[in-house]
This record gives sequence, C-alpha cells and structure tokens, in this order.
Amino acid sequence: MSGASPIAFASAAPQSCGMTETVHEQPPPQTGFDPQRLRTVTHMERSRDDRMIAGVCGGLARYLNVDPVVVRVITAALTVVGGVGLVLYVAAWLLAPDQGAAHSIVGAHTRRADGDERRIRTVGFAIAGVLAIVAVASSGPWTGWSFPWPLAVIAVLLWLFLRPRDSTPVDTSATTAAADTPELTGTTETTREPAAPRPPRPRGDGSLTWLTIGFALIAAGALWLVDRAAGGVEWPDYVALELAVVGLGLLLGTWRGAGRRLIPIGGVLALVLLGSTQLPTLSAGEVRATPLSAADVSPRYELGVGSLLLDLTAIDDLAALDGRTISIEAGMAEIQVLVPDEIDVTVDAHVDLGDLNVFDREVAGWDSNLNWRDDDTDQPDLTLVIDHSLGEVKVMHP
Amino acid sequence: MNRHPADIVALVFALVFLGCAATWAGWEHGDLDVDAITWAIPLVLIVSGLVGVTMTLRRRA
Repeated sequence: MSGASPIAFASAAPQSCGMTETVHEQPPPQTGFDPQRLRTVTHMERSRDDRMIAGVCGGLARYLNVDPVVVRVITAALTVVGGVGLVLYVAAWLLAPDQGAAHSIVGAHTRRADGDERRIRTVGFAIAGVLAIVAVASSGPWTGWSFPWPLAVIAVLLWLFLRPRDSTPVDTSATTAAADTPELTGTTETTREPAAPRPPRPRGDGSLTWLTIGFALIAAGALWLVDRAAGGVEWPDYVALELAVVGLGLLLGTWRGAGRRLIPIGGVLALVLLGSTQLPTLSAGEVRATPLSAADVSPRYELGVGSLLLDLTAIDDLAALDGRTISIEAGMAEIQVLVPDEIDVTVDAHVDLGDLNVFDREVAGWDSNLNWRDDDTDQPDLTLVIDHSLGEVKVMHP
Repeated sequence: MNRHPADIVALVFALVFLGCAATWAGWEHGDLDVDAITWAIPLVLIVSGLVGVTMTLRRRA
C-alpha cells in the first residue's frame, strides 16, 4: 500500500523542481483520475520563492491553489486561538520538504527510505492534528490552559524511536573535527597513536539513551513511592531528579560514547526546572474563594496557571480579620481580590511581567511593584501580599 | 571504560545539567539563598567551560 505512493511522489518531485522560477504555476493538465496521483497534505512542499518565514503558508497556498494572503491570515487567526496556527505551522515546517527537496527536516533527521518518510509525515501530521485539537479544546485566555505533557512525552519517545539505528558515518562535525588529532588512550597519559583509521564512534547505538531513560523511570517511580510514604515531594523535584539522571547518563556517555542525544532531553528538563521557579504550583484552572467568615480565610492562596478570584465581601465577622496577612502567589494567571469597604487594607503587590491595578491605581510592565495603604481608621486592618509572575492583578472594592 | 576518546560535548553538558540540578536542590531544599545562587550559577558555567576548554587543549597537545 505504502509502496505505490512513493513512486508517484518520487516521479513528481523533479517536475516541481523545474518550476521554481514562476510563482503561480498551473499544474500540468491531468487526464483522467489516477489513484496513484492522489495528493494528500503529505505531498505539500514549502515554497522557496514565496516565503515569509519558512514558506509554509506559500507552499500550502500553492497546494490548495489559493492566494497565499488567505492562508497567512487564517494561520495568524488560528495562532490566536490557543496557538493552533503555531502548532500546525511548526509541524508543516518540520514535516513538509522544501520545494524540490526530497526530504523534510524530520525525514533528513531520520534518514530513512522515501516510503518510510511518507509514513513519518503521515504520523507527524496526525500528531500535529491531535495537538491542535487539544489546543483548541483547552484554549481561552490563560483559563484552564495546561501544557499537554503526555503528548510531549510521546513526541519525545517517537523522536527517539525514529532516529536511525545504523550508524552510518554522517556525523561529520564530530568525526572530521577529531580526525586530524591524535587520540588519548588514557585520561592522564598522552600516548600517541599512529594515524590509523579510527573506527567511527557508535553514536547511533542508543543503548545509553535507553539505559538512562530506564533509570529515569525507576528514579521517578522511587520518588513517587517516597512521596506516598513520607509526602512533601513537589513536581519540580521530579524534574530535578530526572535532570540529575540525564546528567549522570551524559557523564557516563563521555567515556562510553553515544550519549549526545541525551543533551536535548536535559536541555528541556533544565528549562522546565527554570520555569518551575516561576510557577508556585503546577495547578491550573480557575480558583474562586468566597470565605464566609474570617476563620475560612486561608493565610495563603496559590495557583500555577489560570484565574484566581478571592472575594472577601461575604465575610460576616470582619473584625476578626484585624491584623491578618493574606499572601497570594501565582504563576501565569489573572488575580482578582474583592475587598469590602469596611476594612483598611495594606497591599504589597509585585508582578514580574504584567499589570497591577489596586483600587484604580495602575502600574504595568516588567518587574512592577505597587504598594497601597489605606488611611488608618478604626476599621480592622488587613495586609495583602501578592507575588505574581505573569499576568494581571486587580484589587478592588465591590 | 576508555573504549572511546572522551566526548567533551557530553561531559560539558553533563556538568551543566548536574550543576543545575544541584543548585536547584540547594535552593529549594538546602539553605542557599538568592545571593548564593547568583554565585553558584556562574560558577557552574565557568567550571563546565573550563573543563571543556582544558580537555580540548589537552587533546590537541
């Protein structure tokens, strides 16, 4: 089944290669219907002569035979909707070959025969479609948004699986760089070897990668058990542990070889760990707190991603709030606090990037602070400490 | 173990990643404060870089 279409694809490629001069070239007239020439989106090519970024929109416009402006506008509009346009654009960038080129970026990366590359493209576009649907389903201005971690894990595993297994010496950057230099046979002595042809380093052997992933899974499971038994394990602990495992795997790979493909994994983990310092919790969604008495008021409210509303106007014993401090910490969110008129509040708000609005006094931008102090009256005093990474903070009277 | 010449790229990244994990652990669970972190991170980078440079130069020597 998949054996037939690559032939049609391969024979079509040189044709389109010769058409690069004209922008709006009509396809050659087709006589009759030939199922082998059935074109799917996997036949799309990225335009060379009509590109703003990577020629995806130009290529898709040619494939659909419409004006590129239409495709660009739709793509831009879809990018606003939960980043769908971006997901699809990047997918097409990676999966569609450059005009006239035989291989897409993913195809060149996996270096497989044409038939297999077509399958990779089909699978890749399917994954992109699922991601796009997830993005639409969970879209909205920050609310309820969460990164599709399971899909990301699957994507990483697929990427590892689709790597070539045979180690043909394509890794030229490494082999040529080391080719003219004599080797060290020990870590301390410099024993020179005659310039004998060195066997290529078996980078393609993925055993170290799988060894490391195996240990990473074991470590994650073990930490989970620790959390069950003793508690107190937070999600960044897992990330840090996996980063350490990947680091150790790379350390082993320094002398064992074949460790470099752990580098991107470690890079992603390090970035996530960095991000964890910005998100107080991994919780996402909508938090609405409407305490009815001072005893119900928590000293601390946190949220990772989403929106947080703290409504203090329903409290019936406001006098009991006197002298208390409420701290609110959020990552990427919209924070709203409703304060009754009958108390004096001191607000100490900070946002890394965003908008602070406290009783209609407003500060916006990077690393903003806003302090507010009500005139001291006989009313009960309440302190609000708000620490926010990204988004809007609003403190107001009802 | 020394069946291959040392892969310096892997070593440097190993040091960076381990340094990141250790720094994070010290900050989250240890008693490193912000001041110590701003020392620790550049030190991790400098040590990793120095190891890479030293090993590259020694290999060429």
